[in-house]
Amino acid sequence: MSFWPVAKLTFKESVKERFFIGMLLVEVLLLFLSYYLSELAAGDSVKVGMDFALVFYFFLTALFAVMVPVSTLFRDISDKFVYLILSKPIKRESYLAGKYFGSLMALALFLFASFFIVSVGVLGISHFARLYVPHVIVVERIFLLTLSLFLMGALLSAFSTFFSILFTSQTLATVVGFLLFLSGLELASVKELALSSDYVSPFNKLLIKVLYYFFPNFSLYDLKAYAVHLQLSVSSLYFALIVLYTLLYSCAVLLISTWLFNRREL
Amino acid sequence: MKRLILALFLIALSYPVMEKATSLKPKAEGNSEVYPYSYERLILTFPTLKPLISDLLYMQTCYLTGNDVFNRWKERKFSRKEWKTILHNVKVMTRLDPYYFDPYYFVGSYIPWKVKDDREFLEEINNVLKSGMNYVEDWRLPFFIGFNYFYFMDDKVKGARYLKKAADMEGAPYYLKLLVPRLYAQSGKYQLAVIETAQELKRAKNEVLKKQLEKRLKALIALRDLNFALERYRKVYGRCPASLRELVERGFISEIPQDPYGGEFFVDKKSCTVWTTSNLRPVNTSSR
Repeated sequence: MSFWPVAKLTFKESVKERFFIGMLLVEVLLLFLSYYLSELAAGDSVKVGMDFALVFYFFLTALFAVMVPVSTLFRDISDKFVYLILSKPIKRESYLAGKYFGSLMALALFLFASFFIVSVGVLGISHFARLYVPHVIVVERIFLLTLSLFLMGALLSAFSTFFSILFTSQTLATVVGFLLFLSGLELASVKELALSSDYVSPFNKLLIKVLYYFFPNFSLYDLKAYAVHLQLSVSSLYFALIVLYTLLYSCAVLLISTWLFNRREL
Repeated sequence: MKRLILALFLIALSYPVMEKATSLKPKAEGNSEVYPYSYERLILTFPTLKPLISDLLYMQTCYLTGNDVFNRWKERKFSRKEWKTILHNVKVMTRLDPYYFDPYYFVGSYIPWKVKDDREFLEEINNVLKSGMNYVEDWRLPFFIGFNYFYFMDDKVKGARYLKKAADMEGAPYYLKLLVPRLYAQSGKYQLAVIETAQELKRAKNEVLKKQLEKRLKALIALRDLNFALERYRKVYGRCPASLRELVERGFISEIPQDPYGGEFFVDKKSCTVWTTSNLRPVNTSSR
């Protein structure tokens, strides 16, 4: 458990950052924006408002999960704090695990606060909407989306940790982390279209399949439609499988990261 | 502190400048072009945002249609081709988010009135609504399909079939249950109309509806019996009777029954069928 003090410290640092509060404020502002945008749609404006609010929630979580591990690791290196910690009887692996779990704890707190903000926000949108037929909002569904976002954040944070060690530039690590997230979202759609199309050559189909299995699949965590439409359901097996997928993939990425970190000159 | 005050003063000063500049800015006319969207391109550009893109596409369609409705583009109205593009875009919307009700409502309630003489187009609209029924459980979807068949395509049997589906769904207004037998009767399916009404009467719990169904059943039984008698007359004499009195005189019926709606039964010589002047509605409010 030698990683625990590092994790605690990372959590405290991340929460104290202006970035943390800033992201929550942006969340609130985007909820107002969602309300005004929903007013442009004729019909079920609550559905439209929820779509906007949950998309903002989804992307803010991804941004948070990419930025926190990157910023905390680079800060340690630039402030030479990492030397101080590693001079103690703490292994490099434990330091990295501590950084990762500290970031996850900050992400959990961010999601906990965001869940309340988003739930109150969409209930507010529903309250102010002028509808003939009210749109039913089930907060438990937003909570399940929040859990899936936590899993997505856990995997994305593992990749951010990896890129922070791989690259010497903080901007590059952040940009590559976010691009990886977008690629992981896109590939499921690309595969679906490419495999059903007659215009894509067999070689390209194979290439897309290889890429699909190589990149992490972030579209698995996208339960926004489930949160909005009550007709949709998520089986407990599906949820158990995405938990397992996150565990397997995150552990693999963290193992590679610790291997790389042990060989990196600081 | 002085700097801060100066900064605030400069910001305040910038507002009238911005206002003036805005008033002088050249204004572009609203774009009235209806652009066909591609589902494939949209999901490649915005992979996880399918429902949101569906919302935005719907908003744009409402904006374009609204401008068309209120004659914002005075020089023109949407052409048939443009309505087809709008229907194509609605199909894209419903593919992006098949559970989104509003595009189905838009396509069912508005577009048919713009293309009412194009059977193929109406069939395409009905197909969109039929696929929507797999995702959205709302009585208005089969209602629109039934209405299109009945009103625009003059297919009363198909119309009645979908209206019956609508009538059986939760939230459907009770008068739909009365409309279905009338459509069957108007299309000459008297026995079907009688069975349908009798079934509804068994299920009905609302007293007002029960009374209306009893009246409808009485009228439909009379219509069915008169039409059967007329058919027998035609088989025997090889022609259409001049009036219902002739059926009584030749012993095909004992008397001309009374229409419970206050109308009178008569022989429609054009189609050689019996119908009623009440059109199965109380005579004082009867129209159509």
